[in-house]
Amino acid sequence: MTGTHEPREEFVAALESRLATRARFRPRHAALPAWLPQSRTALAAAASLVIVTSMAVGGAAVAFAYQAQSAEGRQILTEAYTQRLQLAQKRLELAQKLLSDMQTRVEIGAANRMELVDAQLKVLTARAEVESGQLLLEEVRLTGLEPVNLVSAPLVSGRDFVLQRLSVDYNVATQTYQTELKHLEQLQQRVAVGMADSFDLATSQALANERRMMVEGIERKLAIRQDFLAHKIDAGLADLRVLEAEADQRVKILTGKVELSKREAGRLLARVQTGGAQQLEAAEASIRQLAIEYELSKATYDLTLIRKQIAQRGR
Amino acid sequence: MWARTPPTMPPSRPDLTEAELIRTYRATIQPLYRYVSRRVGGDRALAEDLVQDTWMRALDAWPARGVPDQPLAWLIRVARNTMVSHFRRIQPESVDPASIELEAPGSVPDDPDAAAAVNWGLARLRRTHADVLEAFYFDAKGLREIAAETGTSERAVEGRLRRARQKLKHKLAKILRPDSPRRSTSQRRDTVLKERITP
Repeated sequence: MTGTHEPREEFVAALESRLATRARFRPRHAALPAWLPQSRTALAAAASLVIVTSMAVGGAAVAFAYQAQSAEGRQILTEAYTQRLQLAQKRLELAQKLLSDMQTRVEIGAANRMELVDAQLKVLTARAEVESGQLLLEEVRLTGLEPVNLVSAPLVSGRDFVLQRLSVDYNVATQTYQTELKHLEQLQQRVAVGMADSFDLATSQALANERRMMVEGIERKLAIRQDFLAHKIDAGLADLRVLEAEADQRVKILTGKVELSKREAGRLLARVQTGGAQQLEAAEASIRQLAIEYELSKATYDLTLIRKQIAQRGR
Repeated sequence: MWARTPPTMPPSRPDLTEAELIRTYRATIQPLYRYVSRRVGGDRALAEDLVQDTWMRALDAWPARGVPDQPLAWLIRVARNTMVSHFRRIQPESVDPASIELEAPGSVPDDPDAAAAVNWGLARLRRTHADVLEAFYFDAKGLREIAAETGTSERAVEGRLRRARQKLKHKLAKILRPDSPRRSTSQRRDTVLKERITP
């Protein structure tokens, strides 16, 4: 959103998420029929009468209807999440086949080791999707409601699905980071023998840094979740802390990107002077740099706002 | 005083579902936010707090009585009441009179401090006065439009607007900086332009 009076996308999404959670966990109210007396005393008397009679006659019917409605919703959700899980399983099968092909190609020298490492990462990611899908389905089966991924979500039948899903994500993020480090190592060797330039190396380093920050981001979420469950912080603060962690991660990633884009713009400008690149390419690089700087300012502003809200809660 | 009014709740279907809630939220969040943001002079933190409070109230009220037939109108009414409560509680900083324009229609304060001062004043006026000022300044409605909406003559609206403006000025006098000379928007614009072009 760009206008002064337009809401931030982060705010809209966070509020929607909070409303959805509250709507899900709010106590269910019984609707008051319009014909009921509106004064408190008359209403209390009428309500007592209705309660006594409905307990004997209507209670069973209401309970049955509610159960049927609830069962229908649960079934639809269960089917949707079962389909999602099946899709993830098919993706895993495909990734495993590709890995098997890649192993054969590496053995006969038609592919290199890094391609094999990438294929292994794809299998791991697909397996994580299956694990997440299983956890989502289990949560739906237990609650009959949409799964909740907020760190402030309550335990479900004593199980912490949020923590379990975060752990799956953490595993994938760690492996992705390790793979990126391997790419970086290989690139360093290529730079040493003159097969790649230092800019490629800087790009790869920036990517590795991004992956590391993603790992750290999930570590922070895991810590916030544990603090929330240990009653060290309340739900509102936990959600704010997650927003802070995400905004902080974004600022750090964009800071790295700004440095990289500056370097790219400078490199292209130098090439233009020697006739190795066109003016247009340099101008495009310069615009990209400005766009990333703008994104960084926005992210920094968001982070400041979130920290201000956290500080206000602390007062 | 700018009275808090209970939002009218036409009878509608109770037992709010999560999907219905989210659908309504998505359909109304943008106009609701714009309404609040314009009234608080673009103070993002305050606008977000007020919008969030408004939605929390909706979440308290709607499950028992259902989503109203005109949810946006309901939300705006609640947001307005929430703003009145907020501005009755706070004591704004003294502001530069030049930052508050009370003559032209649709002259929304673009500065959060000025907006806070105007809202502080509005929260202390009678409902009829606050309404006409809001319609004129914030909603940029003309005399004819306000007259048509309120079922009165343009002349009556003009008189009410004049009296309301006087009352608001009287209220604001308590928090306006006495040492700042009153300047019109065009004077301020000229000053800013001079500052920009002077090396």
